[in-house]
Amino acid sequence: MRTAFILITFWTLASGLLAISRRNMIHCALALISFFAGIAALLFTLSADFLGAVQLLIYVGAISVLILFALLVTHDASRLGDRGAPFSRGKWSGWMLSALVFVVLGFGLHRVAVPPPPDPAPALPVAEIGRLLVTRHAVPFLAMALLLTAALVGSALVAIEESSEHARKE
Amino acid sequence: MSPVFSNLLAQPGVALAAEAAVKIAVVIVVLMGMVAYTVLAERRICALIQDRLGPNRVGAFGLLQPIADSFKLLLKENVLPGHVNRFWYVLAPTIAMAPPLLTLAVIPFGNTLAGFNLVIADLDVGVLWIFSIASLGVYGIVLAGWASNSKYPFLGGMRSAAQLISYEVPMGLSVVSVFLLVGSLKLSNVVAYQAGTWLIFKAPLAFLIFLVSAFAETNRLPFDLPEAEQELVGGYNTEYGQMKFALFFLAEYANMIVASALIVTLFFGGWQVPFVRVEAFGPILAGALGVAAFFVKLLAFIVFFIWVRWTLPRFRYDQLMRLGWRVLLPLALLNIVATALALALKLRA
Amino acid sequence: MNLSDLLPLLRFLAPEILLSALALGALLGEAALSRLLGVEKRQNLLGWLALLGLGACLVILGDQAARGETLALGRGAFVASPFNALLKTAATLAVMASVTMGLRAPFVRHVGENYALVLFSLLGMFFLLSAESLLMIFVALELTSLPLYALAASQKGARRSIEGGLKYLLFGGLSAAFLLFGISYVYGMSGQGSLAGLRDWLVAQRTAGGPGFLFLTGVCLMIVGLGFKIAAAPFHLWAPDAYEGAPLPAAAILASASKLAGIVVAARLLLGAFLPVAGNVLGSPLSWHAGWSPAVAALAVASLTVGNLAALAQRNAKRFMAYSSVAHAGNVLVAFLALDASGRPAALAAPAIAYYAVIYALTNAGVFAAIHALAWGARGDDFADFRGAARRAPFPAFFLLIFLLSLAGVPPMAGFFGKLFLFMAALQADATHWGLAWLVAYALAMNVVALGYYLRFARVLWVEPAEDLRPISTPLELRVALVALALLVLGLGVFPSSCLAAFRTMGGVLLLRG
Repeated sequence: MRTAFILITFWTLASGLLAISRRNMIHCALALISFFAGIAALLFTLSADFLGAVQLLIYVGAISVLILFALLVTHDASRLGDRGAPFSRGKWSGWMLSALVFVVLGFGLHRVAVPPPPDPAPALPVAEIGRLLVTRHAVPFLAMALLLTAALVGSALVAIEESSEHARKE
Repeated sequence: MSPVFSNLLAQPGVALAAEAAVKIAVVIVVLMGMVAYTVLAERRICALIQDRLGPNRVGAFGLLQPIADSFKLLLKENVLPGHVNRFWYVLAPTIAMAPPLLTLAVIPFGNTLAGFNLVIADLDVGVLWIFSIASLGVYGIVLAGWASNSKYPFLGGMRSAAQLISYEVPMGLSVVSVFLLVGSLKLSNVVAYQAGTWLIFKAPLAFLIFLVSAFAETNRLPFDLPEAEQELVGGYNTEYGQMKFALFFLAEYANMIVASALIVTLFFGGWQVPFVRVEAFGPILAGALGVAAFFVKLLAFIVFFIWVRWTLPRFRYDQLMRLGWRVLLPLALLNIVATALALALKLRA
Repeated sequence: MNLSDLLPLLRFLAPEILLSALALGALLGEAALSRLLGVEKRQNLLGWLALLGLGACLVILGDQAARGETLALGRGAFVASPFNALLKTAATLAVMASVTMGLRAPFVRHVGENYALVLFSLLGMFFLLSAESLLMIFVALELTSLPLYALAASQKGARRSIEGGLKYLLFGGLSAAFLLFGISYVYGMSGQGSLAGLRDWLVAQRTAGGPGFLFLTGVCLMIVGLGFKIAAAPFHLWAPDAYEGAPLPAAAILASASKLAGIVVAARLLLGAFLPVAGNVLGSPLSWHAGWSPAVAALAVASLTVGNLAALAQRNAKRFMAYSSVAHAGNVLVAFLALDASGRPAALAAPAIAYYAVIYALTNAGVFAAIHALAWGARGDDFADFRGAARRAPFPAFFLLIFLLSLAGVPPMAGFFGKLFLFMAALQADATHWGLAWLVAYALAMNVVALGYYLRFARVLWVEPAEDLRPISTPLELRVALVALALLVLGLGVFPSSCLAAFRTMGGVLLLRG
């Protein structure tokens, strides 16, 4: 299991790196998908079946498909390769800053005494997750629903094409 | 530890691993055999409907035809078009083949036989797993369309992406009402729940929505727009040949079989034998009867899929989208609300 | 839990429920009316309905504040208290000003969606002002921000609107990532989701060897996220472009209600949950104690410096207001540091922060409303366009002057008392040693600079000659809004100590229940 975890971790990290460093947008998107799939696999190895399945369904199956779809319809497929350099001129300061954050976090994680994992791992049945969502976490759950509605309306408002017949006389 | 991994990888018990391996092998062999003969059945039934004979030369009734076909495809020269994106072009058929196989892992095709559970991995989140995997089906097609670097495959890929996304939503929502009734995501529990009455009688609307969406998700007529021959030459697989083409072909039929298996499991009682108390026949016979019942129902649905294909014309693209978003989606939502209300009233009473 | 048990709870959730209904109603209204009425009619009808609904919200909130009951749901996920009701009232008033401004905004074509987004954002602020759990804080922050990203970019014709909206979105997304990452560490190390639980856990950790380095890293990451939200330097980079690009009604929300919610939630987290790991910045740097205080002190000094000095150089009224808001973030952060050597906050600190946030929100809403009224007849919103505007539109120019003076902190405006209380809290904290004198002295010096640039803006309006002398007419509803806001700002300034006392008795320190 440990080996599987480590292998999947490397897989996920490599995909993430590819996702930010490839020039071809489609390749970036595909690497991102592989990254999401890696996260789902990690969740499965950590016994979070429900989260793993949800991750697979939402991120790999839905969001990434939309990203890929959007890329393919909005770009001229033959010119997708010409994105220019993936990094801007400020890349070095960016790398330095992320390295700094990485060092700090690594230092912190290094110093943490990790408690031994409980055996067997506590299983949270799906029904229990559902029950918590409608009792203790009911308010955040409802707020989340409103959040998604707002996000949908907002993105539609930004994306919608304003046709000239509706255009207003100024 | 997750049941998938515990069953497939990590359990120290060799017996368990061996059991899983045997089950996987059997399931794959059976599935591939079924795919081969579903293709033959399609050709024969189509011929029947069109008042022709169909392939009847190779073996008795053409029964060896699938084998001859597969040899032909395997022995063809491997051609790689020069304009394709090689890595993804080669990978795409494999990706297309993966989802039906992964889905099959959680479908119970029988109760127990000689002490073995007749399911590879009975996940707690079984149905969620199926939908997660089913939602990956689109990648094989989109990648094939994109990597082919060619007009018609690209259009086919895009259509397929739009179609699969649109119909995944009502499909998922239709099943929600089933789980409201059953109270579990585990497929073995769903089947056990149907010991008395099949779910089709309790949730007919859900079944209808699921059925229509299943046709769309498997790219079968009347929803086969991704490969509409008359418009798109051959759709997303135009640039493919030999075994790579065969893989897409196999994936399509495997998808159809898996969809049928799902419908049987969710709405038609799975391996439950109607009207007969099979326990009376002893464990071995009862198990075998369950498996037989499952396969009979499965075959009925496969024939139904084929029948529909050769009976109905294809939808137009806008009709397809309208049906998905304006009819099925609201219906599915309504169905959930109605089921929840009914259950709440029943609880109160 | 039965349905009958839930009904009494609904009274506490009534403002949120009403607001959700209003937002969804705006969407449905647009869908129903889009074929029946023209854009302008819909804009008026839906706008007035929204204002009516918000007025009803005010009534309910006033009732909640008057009843004095409190309720905590779901481990701090939602806390209704008179104090929170008061804060929500201020946010509602600011948003009402924005809606009033938007009644005649010519660029809006999808009217219902626009109002719906405004209302959703306000709903997010309501949740945020009631949130005392990490999960709810994150969800509510997103609900506040996401509509604002869209609103900032909603002026389709203008390039700078899209640019500002995109920058706001990218920075906002990054800040949300920081916040969430921080939350994951904090929650992971402590296992506590509610703010009260976190504080108790931290107090318990004092004897058990401290919360650990990773927890503090998480807190710092959260501070970065919050710093973005309240536009504290060096995380303010989005603000000038977002303010400048956003249409004025949206910019008004950005600068007022959203900021209020951000400040309150920052105070709840730092002075509430994370108080035991505050450390301090008393006296010389050698005598400081590790904790979040030094980090916040750095933010405060940077914000005071960058905000005030950069505001001096601005030529665009909206950019100018953006830098002014950075400077004000610096001011308010000063009171976050009002802790004595043993880590106890000054009694004045939390009420002063709340008072300041409320004053600031109302004043800024007023500034933007007045600029909106003036920009009606101007070519754009650069200072040059407002030259001599007082002669063209004396009414809004007069009120703009009042609001600017309040921002500058001129007595007897409320802004003066706001700053006074902030700095008094800082001095009180370690009164015997004058431990925070260095910070207060710096803040005062920077506020003298601020006085200069606010007066410069006023001079542009009142002294410089106008090129164009055609009068600008101000719509009645905008006049009413200006008068109301000015009365509030003046009123809160006339009775500062009673306001403060009210805040103190109602809120004590900003939290904590549940």
